[in-house]
Formats: sequence, structure tokens, C-alpha cells
Amino acid sequence: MSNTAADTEIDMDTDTETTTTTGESQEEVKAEWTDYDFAGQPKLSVENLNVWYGDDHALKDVSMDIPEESVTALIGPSGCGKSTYLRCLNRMNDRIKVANIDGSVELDGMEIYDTNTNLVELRKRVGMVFQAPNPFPKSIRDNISYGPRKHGDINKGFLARLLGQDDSDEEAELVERALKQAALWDEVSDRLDANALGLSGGQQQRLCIARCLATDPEVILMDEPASALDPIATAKIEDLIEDLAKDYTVVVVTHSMQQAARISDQTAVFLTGGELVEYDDTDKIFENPESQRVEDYITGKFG
Amino acid sequence: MLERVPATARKTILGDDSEDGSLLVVAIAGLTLVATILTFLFTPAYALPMLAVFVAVTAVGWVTYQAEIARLLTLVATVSTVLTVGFITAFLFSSAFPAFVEHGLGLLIIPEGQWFFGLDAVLPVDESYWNPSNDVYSLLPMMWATVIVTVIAIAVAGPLGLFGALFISEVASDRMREFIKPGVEILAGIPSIVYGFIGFQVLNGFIQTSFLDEGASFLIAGIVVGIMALPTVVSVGEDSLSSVPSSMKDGSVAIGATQWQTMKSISIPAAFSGISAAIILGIGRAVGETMAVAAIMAAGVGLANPLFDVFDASATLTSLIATQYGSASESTIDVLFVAGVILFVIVGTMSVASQYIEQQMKKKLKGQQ
Ligand SMILES: Nc1ncnc2c1ncn2[C@@H]1O[C@H](COP(=O)(O)OP(=O)(O)OP(=O)(O)O)[C@@H](O)[C@H]1O
Ligand SMILES: [Mg+2]
Repeated sequence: MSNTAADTEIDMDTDTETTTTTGESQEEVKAEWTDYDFAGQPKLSVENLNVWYGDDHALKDVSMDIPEESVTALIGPSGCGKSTYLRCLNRMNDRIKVANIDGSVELDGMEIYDTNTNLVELRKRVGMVFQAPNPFPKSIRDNISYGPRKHGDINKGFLARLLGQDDSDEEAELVERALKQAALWDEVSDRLDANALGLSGGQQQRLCIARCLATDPEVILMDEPASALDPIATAKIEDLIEDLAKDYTVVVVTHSMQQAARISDQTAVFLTGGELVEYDDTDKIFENPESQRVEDYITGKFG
Repeated sequence: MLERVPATARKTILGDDSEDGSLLVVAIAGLTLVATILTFLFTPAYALPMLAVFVAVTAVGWVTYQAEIARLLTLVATVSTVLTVGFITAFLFSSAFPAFVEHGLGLLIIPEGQWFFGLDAVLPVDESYWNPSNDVYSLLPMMWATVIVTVIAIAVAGPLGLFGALFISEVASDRMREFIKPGVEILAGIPSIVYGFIGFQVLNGFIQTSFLDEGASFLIAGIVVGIMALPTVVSVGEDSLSSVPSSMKDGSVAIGATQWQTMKSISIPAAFSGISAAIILGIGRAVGETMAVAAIMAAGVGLANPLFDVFDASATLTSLIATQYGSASESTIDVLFVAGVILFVIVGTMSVASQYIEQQMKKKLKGQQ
């Protein structure tokens, strides 16, 4: 037990020395490893982001630009701050009372941590699929059309019928499209009125993906979207993610190295302590990482 | 089968893992308890010494066979609670029986001898319904008054309670909640006479001087009962709102719904049954207690005229019992017991309904439809 800890420590100490020319400070090394050059404008640009939960410094000085119309994978051991980072991108961390956030996140060049940012608009543009499925205690159909109805894109119900603006047909179309995208349609098409809480865990997970897609956001944040899925459903979701990257910016947290390697264009590796250690093309990260710690993590030597 | 009865009984009283010698001690403790009860029933003067014997035996047992004696004590406590409630219920119903036999359905509708052509069209509002000296007994006006006051109380406690609960669970900051929640719970403990008194002194005076010349009214009684129920509604309603998983609310907010939309479409529907249970519970309590106090001010015993006149006043079931009991003759008391039975049924139904609704809510949140 103590042995492993000692090994890790040695790794950390020797990390900078083994892979870089001596003389560079640790900050410079870090900046070099996490600086990812890509063509085009970043969709999201994160500068010096720090998050504390009370006294717990969960995310340390993270800076990374996320290119648009691509898949960015976030990997790292449990508790390293991946979900924390993801929640910063649509300001869901604001809802955690003990959380303290410092730094800057720009969406298309606009600072989202500005005091007069419209959070509702922001979250319409930056959608999120949570780590644990959280369907609403409503019918499957109402779960999918929840967002568009709240945004006023779909009108339904008594008042809408009275005003002659009933969008039930559009709703049906939307529900079918979203459920098909999330590879759930075949399983639930005959019980759209059933309570979503009656679905299995994996079905709920896909329902939450469909619910997010239905609002048509620009950026989609996914926190382990395939963690409860069988290989076939996983493959479908992976196809979906690759497909989405044609039009959307997708950021996906995953614990599966193979999945990250398969679906993502670039990969960011977070390690214990809430640091972003390396961020680069996915191929580069998996074939020839700069950091010894990242290589050890990817090859399963420590986590 | 029969041989197994002692074994089962032993298991119930002593538990599966009882020590061998314990049976004797527990048996003695049980016997002294039964003896205490019997002496209390037949020669009350000696009950106290017998009780002392029981306590002494139990104390000795506690030292030697603690587990078994503790088990016996919990059993005794449960049995005596159930028996007491059972006896009270039986007594209430059996006491109400003679009046029911004598007056029949007339008690619940128009008194005997005053029947019109069945119970058609409108109820005769200026008939005499309650006049013990003429042997005229009908509980109809009081039942009607109870209904009116309850409806007004729900109209007061429902919306106010819902919004109060919403504020505490969704809007207030943590520090505010720390103060408000216990404060509300203290309010729930204020004796109902205080509410009744405030209602009579302050509200009634205010309404008299500013609107009408009349005295007590259903409106005031209803408002007072509603306010009395409010702390219970807020407190229980808040519990059910905060038991809605925050991940559900997060899901709604993350999709770009506003905070109000989230409350309206997620929190309230998910907690709906809990909130209605809270209202029923609060009102049920208030119907039993406060209504007596609040409606004592109205001693009239006629139907409201017109039926829905909230500024009219008459006794409710609760206040009828409270006001008439002291001066009542034998046969009036019998009728009061019928009023008690009706009240018992109303409040009992409300409380069962509230529990049923709450169970439904738990199921709903767990996803079993
Ligand atoms: N709501 C919270 N309140 C307090 N601390 C939190 C909260 N959420 C996360 N943390 C802490 O922040 C750190 C990072 O958590 P986070 O959920 O971001 O990890 P993660 O990388 O997503 O892990 P996993 O792979 O297990 O999901 C952890 O140490 C955790 O204890
Ligand atoms: Mg996580």
C-alpha cells in the first residue's frame, strides 16, 4: 500500500525531468503540455479556471480551448474533477452552494461568467447530459419535449388548442427524431405515455441524451453517457457522438480509454488533484504522451 | 399445529434468542401487570402498591434479562395503546347508538316530522333544526357549517401553505431556512385557543368595524382555522418539496428552463401528493381542535341563509359538542356522541387519505406507477 504511494511520488518528482529539457519551470512545462494548437476559432475558451468546494481545491488553474464541431474527450481517474470542469461550462456549478469558481470561460468569445450573463440562454446553447440519469417523473414524450416547451418552441395543452396553436404534430416528430438519434425509439415507441422512471437505467441514460438533443443546443456536454449501456447501445451512442460532431461541439467525459480513442478528436487528461496535465490530439495522447504520469495512467499503471 | 402455539407465543414475547431462565421473570412481570390492572378495576385503592410490585419485578428483570424484559415492555406499550384507542372508539360508537336508534336518519337530515316532499330542491333554511327542549335534533346545520369552514380553511391554508413551502425549500437561502423552518414548527405547536382568541379579538373586531355590523361568521372561523393549519401545511409541504431529488431540478435548469418553470413543472408536480397530504393533515388537525374555539363565538344552530353565505354563522360539529356539553340533558348528550362519531369519521378519513396520498408520492418518485 505505502509502496504504491511512494512510487507515485517518485513518478511525480521525476516527471518533469524525464521528458523535458532541464531548466524549464514547472509552469512552463504545464503550459506546453496543455497548450493545444488547432485551426479555426475555439467554441469554448477556458482561462485559469479554479474551483473550490469549501476548502477543497477541486480544479486547479485549468486553461484549455475547445474547438467547434469536434469531439473533445476528458479522461482521468475518479474524483479528479472532470464533472466539476464540465459543470463550469454551463454554470451548473453555480447551483452548488459550497462551490467557489474563479477564472474565465468564453463561449464564442463572450464571457459566460459575466454578472449579466443570461443563464437560461446560456444553458439553451450549452446542453448537458448528467453522469447519473435524471429523467423527470413524467411521460417519455413529455421528457423529450420538456425543453422546447419551456423555451416556447412547442405549444401544447388546453390554452394552445384554444388559440389554435397546438403543435402536437411537431412534438411527435421531434420526439421520434430525438429518440431515434439516441437509439431508444425501437424500445419505447409503443409506450411514449409511460412514466420515464419506469425505464431501465440504460434506457434512462439514452432518454436523457435524447432530451438534451431535443433542445438543439450548440454545445453538448456529456458526462459518461454510455456508462450503463451494453456494447450494442454503446456503439450506437458512439456513432451518434461522432455524427453530432459534424454540427455540434461535443465534450464527453469517459472512463473508457478505448472509447475516448475511438470517438474523440482531442483528449484532455486530468489527474488526481484537479490538474489538467495534458491536452492534445487524441492520437498523440494515446500514442506518444509527453507526461510520464499520463502514460502511466493510460497504460493502467496508476490511477 | 396446536403444540406450536406455545412455541409461537414464547417467540413473540421473548424473541428468538431468549435465554432459558428468562421465561420465569417475564411471566412474573406479566402476571403482576395483569394483577395491577385488575386491582385498578376492582379495588383502585390497592392499585398503587400493586404497580410498585410490577415496577420492582421489572427492575429485577431488567438487571438479569434485559433483552427479554425490554421486549415485554415494548409489547405491553403497544398492546395498551392499541387497546386504549380501540376502547375509546368502541365507547364512542356505542354511546352514539341510542340516539341513532331513537332519531334515525333525522339526525343527519331534516328532523322527523318536518319532512317536505323528500329532500328535493332547496333545504328549508328557516326551519328549526336544533331545539333540545322540543326534542328537535338535527346535525345537518353543524355538518354544513363544518363543511363551509373547512372549505374556507383549505382556501386559506392551501395556496399560502404551498407558497410558503416553496419559498422555504426553493427560494430562501440556507441561513434563512435555518431560522424559518424551526420557527414554523414552533408556530404549529401554539395551542389552538390562542388562535381562536386572536381570531375572535382581532379579526372579528376588524371585520365588524370595517365591513359589516354582524358578529361572528364562517369567514372568520375559516380564516382562523386555515391559519392554524398553515404551519403544519408549510412544514410538511416543505419536507415533500425538498424530498424531490435535486438532480431532477438540475436536469430542468440545465435544459434552459427558468427557476419558476422548474418549480412549476418539476418540483410541484413531483411533490403534489405530498403537498395535498400536508393540507389534509393540517386541516384535519384544525377541524378537530381550532374549529371548536373559533366557532364558539357562533352559538346559532340554523342553516346559513342563503346556504353559501360566509358571513352567516352557526355552530360546527366541534363547537356544538364544546358549547352544549355542560348544559345538556341525557338525550342531548346521546346526540352529541353522534356528532362525535361524525367528526371521528371525517378526521379519520382525512388522515387515512393523507397517508395514502403520501404513499402514492413515494411510489411515484421511485418510478413504480
Ligand atoms: N457538490 C460537491 N460538494 C463538495 N465537493 C464536491 C462536490 N462535487 C464534487 N466534489 C469534489 O470535487 C472533486 C472532484 O469531483 P468530480 O465529481 O468533478 O470528479 P470526477 O472526475 O467527475 O469523478 P468521477 O469520475 O468519479 O465522476 C472530488 O474530490 C469531490 O469530492
Ligand atoms: Mg464525474
